[in-house]
Amino acid sequence: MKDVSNKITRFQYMFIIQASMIGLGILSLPSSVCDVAQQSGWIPTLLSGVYPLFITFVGYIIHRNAKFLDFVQLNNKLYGKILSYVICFVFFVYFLLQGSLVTAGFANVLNFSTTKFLSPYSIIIITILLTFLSTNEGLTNIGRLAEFLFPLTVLLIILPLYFINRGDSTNLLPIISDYKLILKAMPDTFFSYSGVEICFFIFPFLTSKKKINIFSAIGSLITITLYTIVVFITIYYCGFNLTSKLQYPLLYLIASSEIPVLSNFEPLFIFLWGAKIFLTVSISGFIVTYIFSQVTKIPYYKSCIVSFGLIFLLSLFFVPDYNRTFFAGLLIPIMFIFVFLWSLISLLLSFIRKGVSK
Amino acid sequence: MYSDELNSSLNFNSTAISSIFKHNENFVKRDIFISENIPCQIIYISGIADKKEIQEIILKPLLNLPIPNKDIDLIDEVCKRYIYASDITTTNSIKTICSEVLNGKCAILIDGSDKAILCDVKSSNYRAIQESTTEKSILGSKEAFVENIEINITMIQRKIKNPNLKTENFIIGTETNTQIAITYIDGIIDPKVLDKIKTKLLNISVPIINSSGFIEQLLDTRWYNIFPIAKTTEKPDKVALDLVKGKAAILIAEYPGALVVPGTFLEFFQGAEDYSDKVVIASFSRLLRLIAIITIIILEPIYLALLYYNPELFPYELISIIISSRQNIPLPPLLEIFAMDLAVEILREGGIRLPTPIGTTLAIVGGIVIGESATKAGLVSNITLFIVAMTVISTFLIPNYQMTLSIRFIRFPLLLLAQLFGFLGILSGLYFFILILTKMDNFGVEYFSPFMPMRLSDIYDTIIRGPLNKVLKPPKSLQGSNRTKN
Repeated sequence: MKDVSNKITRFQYMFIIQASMIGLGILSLPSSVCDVAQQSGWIPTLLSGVYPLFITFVGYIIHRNAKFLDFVQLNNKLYGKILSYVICFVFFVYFLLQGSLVTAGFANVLNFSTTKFLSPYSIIIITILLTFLSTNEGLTNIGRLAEFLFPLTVLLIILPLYFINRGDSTNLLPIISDYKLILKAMPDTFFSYSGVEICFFIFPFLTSKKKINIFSAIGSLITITLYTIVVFITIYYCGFNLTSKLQYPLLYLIASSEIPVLSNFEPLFIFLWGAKIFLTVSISGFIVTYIFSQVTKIPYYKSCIVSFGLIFLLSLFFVPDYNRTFFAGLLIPIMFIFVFLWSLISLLLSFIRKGVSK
Repeated sequence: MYSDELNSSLNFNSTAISSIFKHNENFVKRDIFISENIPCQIIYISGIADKKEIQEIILKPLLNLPIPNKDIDLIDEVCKRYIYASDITTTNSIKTICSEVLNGKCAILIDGSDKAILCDVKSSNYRAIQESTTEKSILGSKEAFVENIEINITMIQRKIKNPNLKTENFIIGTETNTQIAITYIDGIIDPKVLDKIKTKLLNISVPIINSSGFIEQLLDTRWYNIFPIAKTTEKPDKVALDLVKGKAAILIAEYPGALVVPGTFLEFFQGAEDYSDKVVIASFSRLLRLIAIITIIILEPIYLALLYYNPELFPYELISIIISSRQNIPLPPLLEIFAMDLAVEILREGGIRLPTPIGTTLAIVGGIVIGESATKAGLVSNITLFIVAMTVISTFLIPNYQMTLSIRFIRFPLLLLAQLFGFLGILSGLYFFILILTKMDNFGVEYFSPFMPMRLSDIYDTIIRGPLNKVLKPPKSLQGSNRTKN
């Protein structure tokens, strides 16, 4: 039997929060946001950053009021046993979808860019194998990985800055096109920050709970900065018209660079982003495993095998882009609203229950 | 079959001990009479014990022993009044007598007494302290460990004049009974880490211990682990530095080196000279080493992946050079790189077994000749040769030999992965090795500390080297029991 350890430090928590939001959004976000908000696309990206800040803050308050119970016990306390199972099931499906959508999307992007010779199915097998190995010993290991891979995020931020003097500032003007369009584009950008909900699960595992909100805020702000820079530079370089017509505008931007030795930054980007994707899938996989193990009382390691089996099967189903976009468009917003409502109601209930217990 | 305890008959005691050393030609029994008529026997192993010293400090005073008072304890009297040896113990265990005699002590058995006196008369016939041939030092101390464990401990004690410097002895090796000493500074080393080291040492059960490599492997339960968990050094000054930082050193009798535990990944890339150089110079050297490590691990796999799967990623100017250099090369890129790597590894192994000047010449001349002939024969392209040469030269920058072996090894599976999956293969391979590193706990200390978990206060002594006053403090990462505070 493998030893499972879930204890993490505050730095590890910060890096997990930061990494949990990086998925396919970084590639496709400029397209979807420019489609609605045009040249002001970077503004809703920045404004939507309030979502991870809100979620982590609310998550902390809920857990503080409930004295950092684990997620299943927390729901038991706030909603009772039956509702608790329903909530756990929804979160289970939410992270299962997140993990498999990201895995399938990753396979498609690789198949679209540097590894055209490999079938998406082979890429999925490799991804699932590596993410399983990252997750099978618990959150501590994921925390360490997040810590180690954090410098890659810095490089991901720096990479688009290469184009800072190669674009055209008129592409960004007028800075604010229409307030209504900016507001209309915000839901789409909220989705790119999904994944941050992992904080609801990991607060109890922190070895020190002092100044957690600062760590949450820094973790979220790093990803917000990354997304805003990516969208800003893409619009600045390509213009919103071209950006909105491309499937993966950031890949187009990266591939248009001319550097010595390698013809462009694409392989380097895939390297950096790929490692982050492994981490993102591991984080989702951990939550899926954790809920499964807690609810069914099956040992963590066995639950991990089941969870990654499910992620693998769903990823295979999502390989055709039609399936992926259809189900992502249909299910993720519903789940997203559910999670948002859960956080609001739980916040309220945590204050009420806290008062009762006193 | 004899019991393990002595009795008052010298005849019985002598026969019991002699039966254990029955076929040992070096086993010496010297019968004498002390105080006129009391039979006494001196037992030692010739060669291990110093005969001259036995004559001077044991035989001479014993043969001149006056007739003792009947009421006194003869053993106690002899120990306190007549033996000149500085290290004396008494025992009634035959097993202890045998093991101590094998360690160079001399046993004195007196008729009528059920105890034996053990005197330390170990022969000092050891190699003199010399300069290390494998760890040359330009600015630091020149002395290196020798085969005598006591001299080695003394060398460390001379460098750390601190009453908290502790040394504990163990006997390991069921057949060889090798003396192992663990030394550390009490109050600096984390007690939990120390306990884990001691527990693992005590659990070792093998017939023989020959060198630090044996101990290192036996301390690590993961047979598949390719990374070193402890640092082997021949230099007492390096050991002293590590002890001050909160580590422990394991010394082995008859072995001229020490094993410093627990080892962390990054320290294997830090040279001892780093601490003698200025901050900027030392940091620059460390950054160079980092580039060298990246070169060793990924240069060849990336070249292979580009050549085999993604030639479109070469810029226009470079692709024409590559095409012209690869024309008429019959071997596929993977075999081409493997063949050159294999040739270099063979030369290197050959060089190690030869005397140093010849070995170096063989490696250089062999490398030039084989490389030149391979390109002339059209088996290998110039660019492949350049890539392999760059990789090989980069390996010389890693200061630790064990880590060089590990890093050199990593590129082979990565080459295979690059051949199978291109860039994804390299990414997966690297991620897998990072996973191994994240999962490694070394006596309770994370192998990749201070980066995992992040310890900002310890960052000064990692890929850069900060000011000495910050670097020389015991790192928090080595405090295994406190490490989760952040």
